[in-house]
Amino acid sequence: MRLLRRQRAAPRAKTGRPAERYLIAGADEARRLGHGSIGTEHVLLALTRDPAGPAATILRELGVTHGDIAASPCLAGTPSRRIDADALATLGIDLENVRERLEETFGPGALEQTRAGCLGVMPRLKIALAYAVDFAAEGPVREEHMLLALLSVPDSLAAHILAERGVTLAKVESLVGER
Amino acid sequence: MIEPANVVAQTASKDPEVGLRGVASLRALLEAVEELQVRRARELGWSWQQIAELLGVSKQAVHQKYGTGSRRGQRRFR
Repeated sequence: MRLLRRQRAAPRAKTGRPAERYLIAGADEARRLGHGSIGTEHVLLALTRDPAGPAATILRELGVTHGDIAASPCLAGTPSRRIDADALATLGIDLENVRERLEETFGPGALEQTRAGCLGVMPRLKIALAYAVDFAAEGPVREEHMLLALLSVPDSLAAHILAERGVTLAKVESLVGER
Repeated sequence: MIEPANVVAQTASKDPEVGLRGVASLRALLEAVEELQVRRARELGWSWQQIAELLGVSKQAVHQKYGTGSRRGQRRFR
């Protein structure tokens, strides 16, 4: 029984985490929406938040704005946080109050550092982040690479949202190639 | 002044969906608080036995959940 239960630790990445900033930006979007995990749709939202950014510029040329993406019904499908403030409020529990008390003892962000309180990362986003690193080859992972990567993952929510507005991998590739 | 939370509770507590969502969130909150407390107790040098007694579970149960070698929770993201 012991043998069956024992699990090996995940191997440590040999180099840095070149695409981590996109994961962090996606986490901010997920948190803002009250979602329980970070998906490709959140990274897409983050990429387009700055209208002057490279990804936002490419998408604007293809007729898609941040507002279009934020308004997509696809975003409603993402599961909400496991610790949901509204659900707790129905029991008379004020999550902010609980959070404050926990942070007094355990420091800022304590709740987010637990298994139940942290954000998950959706499998398709993991694949997309790996693709982004591939697109960047040896260089830094730029926004264009991340956008291409999101579109390269079949069935990713980001690709789906963009496909609904006529944006395909081929179209973005040709625009990136022109630069 | 009526708190918004109370209004929600009064209007929606009879709906099972609302009730079950509350239970799920409460359980997740419980898990989070337990993890924080157990981790801190261990850092302060408490034994698994002492922690288990206060939690009202076996020391094996709490060790299996939070002990070293438990891979759960190593890959977390805030």
